[in-house]
Amino acid sequence: MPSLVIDGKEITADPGEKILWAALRSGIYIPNLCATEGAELPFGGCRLCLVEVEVGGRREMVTACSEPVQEKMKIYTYTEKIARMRRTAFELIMSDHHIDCKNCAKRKDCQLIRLASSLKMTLQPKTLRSLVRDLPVDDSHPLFTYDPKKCVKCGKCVFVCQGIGKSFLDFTYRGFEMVVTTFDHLPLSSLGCESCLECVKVCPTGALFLKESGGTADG
Amino acid sequence: MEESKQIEEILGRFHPERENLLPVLQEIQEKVGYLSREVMESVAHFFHLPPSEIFSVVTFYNQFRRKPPGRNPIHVCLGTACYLLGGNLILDAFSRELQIKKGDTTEDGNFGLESTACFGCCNVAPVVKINSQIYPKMTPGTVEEVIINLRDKDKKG
Ligand code: SF4
Ligand code: SF4
Ligand code: FES
Ligand code: FES
Repeated sequence: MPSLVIDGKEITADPGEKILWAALRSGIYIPNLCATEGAELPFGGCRLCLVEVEVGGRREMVTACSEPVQEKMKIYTYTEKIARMRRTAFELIMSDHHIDCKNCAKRKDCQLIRLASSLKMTLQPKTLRSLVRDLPVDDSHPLFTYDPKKCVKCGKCVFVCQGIGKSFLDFTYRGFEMVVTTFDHLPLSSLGCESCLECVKVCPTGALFLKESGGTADG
Repeated sequence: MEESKQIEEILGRFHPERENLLPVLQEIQEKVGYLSREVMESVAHFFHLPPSEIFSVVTFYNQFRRKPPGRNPIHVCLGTACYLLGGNLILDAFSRELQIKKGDTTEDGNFGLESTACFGCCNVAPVVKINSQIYPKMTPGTVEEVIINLRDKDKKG
């Protein structure tokens, strides 16, 4: 079992395990948003999990959710450089997020709010201009609603839906225009979804939410 | 040849392996002009892939269009010379004027908008090609004029 040192603390990890999960299991928190345990690669690329690693005297910046552990690896989860890059990454995520916590279904259990407080930041970007796109809400499903204006493109819903063999959601377009959506933007109710609601469970934000939760997608 | 026959014929020449997805989509677009919802569904079926994945690929690449090109397909050159002389601004101006994005077609099917690579008229860059006619030395200001003229022509013709 590889043994490594994270922030001065020695831990052991499973061979090939990604740094992020090894750290979290040992009680060391590394911010993350798009990582799914068991997924080969992170789907989204939020870059919040950046850490610095040192192997054989070389030091570099890697994303903890994609980098496998190595024997004698030294990992620093918090340096000035990392803090700066994480702040930029978080601002980037929030710059096209429709912030509307008081009407939001996830206001009591929002990953973005937790991240903001752990990064000691506000939800509202301070240096980047906020540019929320005008994307239509999909209200068609009887049990849940999808509001792409709150989607942070973490890919967790894409991954679970794929895992149960349906793949109703996927990443589409690219760059700033990227949006997680259905085939040809068809309404969710028209696809044969059997309402397992796994996507709603994994969504870290108010983008996918149960109708009964009383959140709204407008306002 | 009828559209569905054409597509059948193209699919018939490929194995349903992932690496053939792009060539198949490219060839269909070349022959049929665009990738409709039905076409994307047939392709998904052929490759045993979820339709959402085909849609993901089709929207990722700028080369694919999902609507018929329109009666007046507008090709804005973004080759090096045109790009350096503001080809992007010309594209933006068309986009604003017609209220469509690149790769789209107006509701009435009148105009389509696309960008292309150099077509060898760099000496009069930035250049736009519409129905095989070249419009040289475009400026954002002349965009409206071009559209109005084409609309008029359409009404008369
Ligand atoms: S997901 Fe909802 S609760 Fe979280 S930051 Fe966005 S609006 Fe606020
Ligand atoms: S809808 Fe939710 S789970 Fe899906 S990509 Fe967006 S934020 Fe992630
Ligand atoms: S958690 Fe690693 S890139 Fe998002
Ligand atoms: S670069 Fe536009 S015509 Fe050559």
